[in-house]
Amino acid sequence: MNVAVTVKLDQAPVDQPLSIVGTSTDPVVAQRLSRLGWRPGGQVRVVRKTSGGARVLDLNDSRVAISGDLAKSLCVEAA
Amino acid sequence: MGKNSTVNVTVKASQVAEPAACCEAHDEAGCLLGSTAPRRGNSPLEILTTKPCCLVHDETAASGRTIALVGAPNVGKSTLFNALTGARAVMGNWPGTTVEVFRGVWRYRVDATTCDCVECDCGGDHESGKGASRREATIIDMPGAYALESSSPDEDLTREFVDDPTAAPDLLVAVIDAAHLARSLYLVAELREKSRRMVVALTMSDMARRHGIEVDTYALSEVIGVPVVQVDPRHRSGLDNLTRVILDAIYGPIPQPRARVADIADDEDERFAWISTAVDRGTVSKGVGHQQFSDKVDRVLLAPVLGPLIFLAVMWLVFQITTTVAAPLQDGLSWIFDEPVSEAVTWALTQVGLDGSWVEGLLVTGVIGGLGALLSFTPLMALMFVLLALLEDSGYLARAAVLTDRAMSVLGLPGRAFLPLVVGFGCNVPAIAATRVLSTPRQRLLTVLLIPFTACTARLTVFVMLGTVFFDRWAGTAVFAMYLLSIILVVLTGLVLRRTLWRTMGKEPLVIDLPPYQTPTLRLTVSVAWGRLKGFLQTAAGIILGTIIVVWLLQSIPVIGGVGFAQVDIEDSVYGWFAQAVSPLFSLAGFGTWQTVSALIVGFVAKEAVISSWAQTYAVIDPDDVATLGQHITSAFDLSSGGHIIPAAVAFMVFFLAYTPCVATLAAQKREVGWKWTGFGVVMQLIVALVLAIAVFQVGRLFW
Repeated sequence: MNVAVTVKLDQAPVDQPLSIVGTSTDPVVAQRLSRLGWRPGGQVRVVRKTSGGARVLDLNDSRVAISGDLAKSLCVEAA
Repeated sequence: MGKNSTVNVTVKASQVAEPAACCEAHDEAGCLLGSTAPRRGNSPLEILTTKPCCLVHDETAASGRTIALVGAPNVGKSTLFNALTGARAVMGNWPGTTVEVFRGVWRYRVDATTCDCVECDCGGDHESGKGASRREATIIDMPGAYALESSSPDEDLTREFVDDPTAAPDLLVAVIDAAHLARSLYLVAELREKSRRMVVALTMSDMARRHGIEVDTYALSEVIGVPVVQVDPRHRSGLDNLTRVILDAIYGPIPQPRARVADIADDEDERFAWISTAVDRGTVSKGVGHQQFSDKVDRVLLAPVLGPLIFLAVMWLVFQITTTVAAPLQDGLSWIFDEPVSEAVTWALTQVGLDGSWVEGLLVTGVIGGLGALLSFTPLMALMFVLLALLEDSGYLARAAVLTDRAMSVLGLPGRAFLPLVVGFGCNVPAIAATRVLSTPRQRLLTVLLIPFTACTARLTVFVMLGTVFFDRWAGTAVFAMYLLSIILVVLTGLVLRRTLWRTMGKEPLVIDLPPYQTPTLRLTVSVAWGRLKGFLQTAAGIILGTIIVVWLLQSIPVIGGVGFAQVDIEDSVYGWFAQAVSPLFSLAGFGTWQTVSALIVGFVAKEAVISSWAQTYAVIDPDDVATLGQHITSAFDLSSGGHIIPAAVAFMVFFLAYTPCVATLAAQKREVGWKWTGFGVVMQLIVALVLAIAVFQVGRLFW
């Protein structure tokens, strides 16, 4: 049985289905993310990296851009 | 829809007045079964058997109804507001505890499509279906909110407004995006936990359909428990249907709050479970990879190297349009007022023997000069607002925010603050209006305070002239140094404000929704741009015109005897006297002569007027005669600086760069952040300008 490895989102591969594990960011930002669909157990995909280190995510079939710094405080594992 | 109107109001939720009148006061004798208008608490039978149009008795009664549009950002809420009111909704959230919301009058027709009573006074012929009666209600466009429970002041306002027992609207219209149902439904989940009359307007269905998403409004309305109506406010379709459903809901029973999803204790988890059910049951097909087109475009526009290059090209284009393209239009309008209009008024006054009198001065210099100054900004502002609307509506602005986020985060500002700051180098006035792209009041305020330090093109003309006069072949370098100083001032002031007044403003990480790209519609672009332009003109008219008339008045009142009103030389006027009184203040900076200070005061009104002010003061007939004018200015600086001409000239240019840009900028600032912060900005700039100018001169004179 494969044991999924939890990684920070900034380390996650592009264009792979990922499962959301959680966040270690401040509660206000976590709440904003939650309203946009960032919920533990949910699905996410890194669509691309942009200049400046930001990431474009596929969350609930919407596109959400987050900064590279924020990506370091979000945890995912391979879906 | 008929002629509609919108009023722009700043409210706290608790200050929203209870509707002035309502249906109960009116005789409903003509209506089937309806002896009184059913509001909350009437018997179910009465409510069910009374048609809404029968109860909308007259204009007064109808206008008492208040309908609030609520919904997440980017769902088309303001577009729906525009479509319903025929007016322009431009959202702006203002500093402090108040948030500016837009309120519009919605005039709708009650006719055979919205009324099927047997007998009533709706004015329509129910048999033929012809004829109609006009009604109106008040619509409030609430700020975009993903949820009621949050830490954002915008979302707080929605919660306060919805929960306020006295000011709550009669009906909530929750606007949701068919292409992003799950995202839009969180607010609906919360609202449906309350006993509120509500309907749901489903927008973006065309876009959803293009991407293979089909929403079943009937099934969705069953889950949500209130009617769901498909509308396309961009093309104004579905509005009749929405009207009918709104009327039914206003006069219908208050729906029961939704049932909780069993076995889930945590409120947030429960709402997401409910949303999941709603999306599953309300969506016929979910569409796979519907973001393909936008993803393809983003592959280019957000690419590591190409993306920033394209962004710079777009900014260059915006800058060109707000400067090069706007300039001839501005010059043309100025010319019309300076030449034919002024000449016509002068001719007319000559005919009635008032030529050379104070009336001519007031009308030509004051009123016409002021109107010319105001209207010359109009094409520039119109272009800026159209560009803003295009950038916002197409979806590119959100991408630009991603690309510039890291650079702007140095100032604690989000990426989209880049746009107003770039525009500021063209003209500060539209730049301040462009701060509306920022999402929080604090970001907007900080940017509004920084923009005046960007060296606009009006300042450039004076820099070029002074550079030629004082620095000869180094003129270009001197002008370039001013641009460099401008950028340094923006960054340093930003850092200082961040570490003092805005210490509590946390560094917000970038989290931004990227809406799918779409082709902007002409009607929406023009409607939004016109609304913003009208707002600017309304605010700026009084301020610009008033200031120019006051300056004329001060220049016309003599302080010496034997000279009549408006016949006096500037030196002997109240204005000249004031310039002489404050000029010693500037002697530490090396330019403490009344003529120079007088030019700076004129520069407060408009920077480009400084050269003509000097020409007038030194009686140089042609302001373009730089050589003659230059000799006068040089000798004035020589005198005031004790021979240290170069440091005095640099100090003057530094002061000129940093102090208040112009009265039109103040008008724009007042509109965006109010008088208090505008005043703060003026004082801050004057202090920065004076301290820098004194430092430059005092240090400089040790070397030159």
